[in-house]
Amino acid sequence: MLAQQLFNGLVLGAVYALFALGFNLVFGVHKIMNLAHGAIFMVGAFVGLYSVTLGLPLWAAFLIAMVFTGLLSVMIDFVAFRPLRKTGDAEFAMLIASIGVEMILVNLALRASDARTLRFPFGIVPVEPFFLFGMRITPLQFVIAAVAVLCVTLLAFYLYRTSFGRQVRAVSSNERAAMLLGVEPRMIYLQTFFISGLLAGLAGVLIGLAFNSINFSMGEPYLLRGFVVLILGGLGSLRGAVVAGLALGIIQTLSVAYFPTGLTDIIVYSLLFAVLLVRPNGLFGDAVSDARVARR
Amino acid sequence: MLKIDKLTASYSGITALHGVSLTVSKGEMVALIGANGAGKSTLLNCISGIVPSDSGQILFNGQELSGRRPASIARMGLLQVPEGRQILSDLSVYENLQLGQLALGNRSPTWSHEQVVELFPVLGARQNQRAGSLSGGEQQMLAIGRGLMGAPELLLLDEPSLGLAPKIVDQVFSVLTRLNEAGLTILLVEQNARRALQIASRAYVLERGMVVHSGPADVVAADKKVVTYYLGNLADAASQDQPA
Ligand SMILES: Nc1ncnc2c1ncn2[C@@H]1O[C@H](COP(=O)(O)OP(=O)(O)OP(=O)(O)O)[C@@H](O)[C@H]1O
Ligand SMILES: [Mg+2]
Repeated sequence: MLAQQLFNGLVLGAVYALFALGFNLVFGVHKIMNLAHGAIFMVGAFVGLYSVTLGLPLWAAFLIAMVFTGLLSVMIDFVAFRPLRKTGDAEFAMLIASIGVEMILVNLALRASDARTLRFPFGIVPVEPFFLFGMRITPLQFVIAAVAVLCVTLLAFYLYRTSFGRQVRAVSSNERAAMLLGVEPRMIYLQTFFISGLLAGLAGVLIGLAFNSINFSMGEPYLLRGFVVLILGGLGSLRGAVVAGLALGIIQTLSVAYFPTGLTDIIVYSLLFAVLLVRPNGLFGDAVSDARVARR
Repeated sequence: MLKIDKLTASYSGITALHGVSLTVSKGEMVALIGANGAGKSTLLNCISGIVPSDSGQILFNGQELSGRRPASIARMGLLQVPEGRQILSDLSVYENLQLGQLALGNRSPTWSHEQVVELFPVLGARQNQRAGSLSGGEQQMLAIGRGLMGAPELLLLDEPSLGLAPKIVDQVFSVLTRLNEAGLTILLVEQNARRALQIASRAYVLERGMVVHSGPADVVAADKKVVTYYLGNLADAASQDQPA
């Protein structure tokens, strides 16, 4: 029973990790706290749902949703952040701008959906579970776990093993010096925002499927969870985002299973404060972002 | 090779360069000296496209640079080794050198990784180390080595001796001399005027954003005002560096 709960927690945590990775990538490389990330996640769920409603196969819906949110995220950077960057020290202004973007997206979704909660058609994913080591695993859970492992691996490969990734880490370390070496920062922003949005959209469709409930305000709790993951794992740390995301998923699932309902948030946030007492910079935070750190 | 004509630049309304004109020909080592805040770094950053100019011209091999982006200027072979080294401290020494190659664009390399390591053996010995863990002198060598990896046609150096022990300064300056003798064109910005004038062939003196002196390095070094303001001060400063 415990093993089953742990597995369920890991799967939920994997989605938290995907969500937080994108959030943390943009923060770690560009020091931009994009509070519209939850809204991008929500848009991803909607686009995935609409694609399915149009009769497209699920894999195509995933693809469309991810490309859409990737481009949306790039567009947000162009419209909301880029003009502010030119003015120099604009971290706070960008934070406020991202809240503005969040509100616009959420309200657009509210209109478009008439504030209704939408659902995927029944049977879009096979529900017949299979059993492994005595655990009951649904096909969707399996897909989520596999996708998360794949995405983390690809992201790590991109950052640490490709020339593009090296340029991303160069910008993260010192944008001006990188420019003098011939790195074109515009291309880096394009890549990081695209990847960040894509991961948010992917997480959105996965959550939409897992809970089969999609509405305009679904991004909010995930943004809050994303914050918890960020602080817990360490600001800017990608390893931290993965570990803390998984941990959060497990803690949440266990507290739902073994404690009275309503205690979940109390437990989650108490644990967060406890960790911060011991490690003020989070589990992996040494105030240095992973996106920069050289692999040895 | 480089021709700057009546260049002006400002920071939010405050003028930092008042019509600076300067040339560097192929194969030369030209020194640019001046006190703190004279505008030396501003001039180099205008050339590199990091600071926009207000008016005037910067021609590199006949091509206008103003309005070009820093990355495209670097890819033309105009590379800056910035003040304070600005190495990518969280990347490894090896990765810093590899990133230097980005400026090659579609030009062919003039310095291989092996040659750079031969010039600065310490960069080979520490190639897997975090660049930020290098000493100041080693970081300066990395910054220069990284520049060489990008096949510079003209190397702009901003105060390479800044904060280094005298022995290391000797080492850096002798490398610069060797590079120049091997044919590399260099524009050297220095506060260490005495040393810069020793190794350069021509020099410019910048004061409050204006060129107040220029000519062959030995002539500039013999100028009375230069001696009083730059060499004299530095002699004092140098004597303060000596252990009591
Ligand atoms: N980013 C900036 N914003 C505003 N003013 C600046 C900026 N950078 C330089 N300045 C000003 O422009 C003038 C020239 O500065 P610059 O850095 O070019 O001098 P410098 O000759 O390189 O001095 P140093 O020898 O101390 O490096 C100074 O008055 C300085 O205060
Ligand atoms: Mg300077």
